[in-house]
Amino acid sequence: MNTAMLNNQVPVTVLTGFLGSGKTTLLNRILTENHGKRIAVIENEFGEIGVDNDLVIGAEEEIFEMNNGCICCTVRGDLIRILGNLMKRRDKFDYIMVETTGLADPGPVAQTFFMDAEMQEKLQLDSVTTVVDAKHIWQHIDDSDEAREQIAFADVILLNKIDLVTEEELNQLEARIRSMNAAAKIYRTKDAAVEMDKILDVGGFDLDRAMEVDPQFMEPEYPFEWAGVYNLSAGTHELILQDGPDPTMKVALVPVNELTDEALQAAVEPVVIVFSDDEHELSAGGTVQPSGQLIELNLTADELRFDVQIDHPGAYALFTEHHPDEFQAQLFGSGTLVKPVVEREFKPDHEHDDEVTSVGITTPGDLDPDRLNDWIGNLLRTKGLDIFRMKGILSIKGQPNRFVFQGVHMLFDGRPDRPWGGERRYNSLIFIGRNLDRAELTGGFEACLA
Amino acid sequence: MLNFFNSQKESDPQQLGQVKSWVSQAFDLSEDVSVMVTQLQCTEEGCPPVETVIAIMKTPGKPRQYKIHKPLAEVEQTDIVSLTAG
Repeated sequence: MNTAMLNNQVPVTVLTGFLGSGKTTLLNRILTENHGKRIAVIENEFGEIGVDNDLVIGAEEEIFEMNNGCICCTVRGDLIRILGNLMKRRDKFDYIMVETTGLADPGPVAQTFFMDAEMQEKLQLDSVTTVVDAKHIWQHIDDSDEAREQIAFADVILLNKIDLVTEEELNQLEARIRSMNAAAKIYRTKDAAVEMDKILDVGGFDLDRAMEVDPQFMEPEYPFEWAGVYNLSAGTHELILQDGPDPTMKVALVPVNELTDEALQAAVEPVVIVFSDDEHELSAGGTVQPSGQLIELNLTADELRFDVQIDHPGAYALFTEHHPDEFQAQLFGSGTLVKPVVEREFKPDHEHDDEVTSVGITTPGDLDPDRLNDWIGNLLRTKGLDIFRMKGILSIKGQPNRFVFQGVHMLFDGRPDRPWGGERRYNSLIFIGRNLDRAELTGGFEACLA
Repeated sequence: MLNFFNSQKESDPQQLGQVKSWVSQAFDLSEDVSVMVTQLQCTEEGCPPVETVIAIMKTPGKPRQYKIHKPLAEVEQTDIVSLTAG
């Protein structure tokens, strides 16, 4: 049973997506599939639903701003009115779907549910679900604020019409969307066919499930861009590089258990710590050893060759600050090219340099409540318009319970959660928004540690 | 100052209903007029930490907004009546 049901609140799903994305197809599916829920629909593009349902209500987008000098938020007046009237027929339905126009900004819709005290009591915003036309989204993703915001706000994204694009195009699109919104669940669909439990009662705004969304989204910014696992024989190997965009590159070479992705993954966390150590500078001609030390290769010489000394044959992982392709870096053993058996990139594709991004912060330790209060107050006051969504779990000094929170723009909701008990205390939060400065957010947050 | 640890989202439903009913009476609103009541926190020093904002949505368009510089729990009928004078 979810929180909404426990509190006798009606869950609400906000459905967004550009015209032609398959939003109405999805809505029709939701209305006709056998899930046992009686659904009321507030639709902006009235008359599109092919289902006979007297709980379908048309809405005219009507946005107004509330501002007290410090907090500014926009809400949907039409929704407040319609939902207010709808709730007088509370016994007729168990779920509400709000369909927005293709060009709608989901911000005011989401803020409406945070803003109105009575709606907070009676309704529970369950999720923002966005339907994306996998073939045509490329026409909008770069130049439409609405398309980007619909993606950024979403808890659930349907990549629809997958039959019209190749697997490679889909992977590219999914990576792009993931770089904008690292927290959303993404499903690939044809004709918006998706299991109903992926869309209804997903708990995207449920504080109890605030961080259940997807473990992937907590992936931090790594200090390295690439790692590869090599099968190396004993002896001296050679790492050869060409001129690249940077004068230095930090690297670490560590032994790993086997030539697998799992072994590489197991090395990631220890090597993050290695990368926080002081670096040992190494000029061309010097020797790299699998010592677990952070080595800074000086890349200013004419000939960029480094020896790699291996005493015991086996699996070794090389972590590099920059992608080796930027320097055409290659490893040779006895004059033969040695290729990595497995490799992994640690940065999203920055080809598009999206202005809409996610910043995830995960750090152990306790927070000073006063410092956190000051920081987050200032952050929301100055950057709240650019922060679309935020959510997280915090470890507050002196508090036995976890603190969970989430917010939309400048509005937020937070409360103590279950006790930490014997669990290691940590902080894990994510911001999704426009023009987010990762270093500033991370630095600001870490300065709140007690 | 903003209080992150008390986001003021929990409003007493009874007080909320009472305030809405005072608003309807004071402004002589019919039953189908929506009234929104919310509390906004202020993050700047010198501002009241929490204020109650009331929006009356009589007709589609721009709603009338009023502010009372105290939390919802402390709002009294006289505060609402005084809004009608403004």
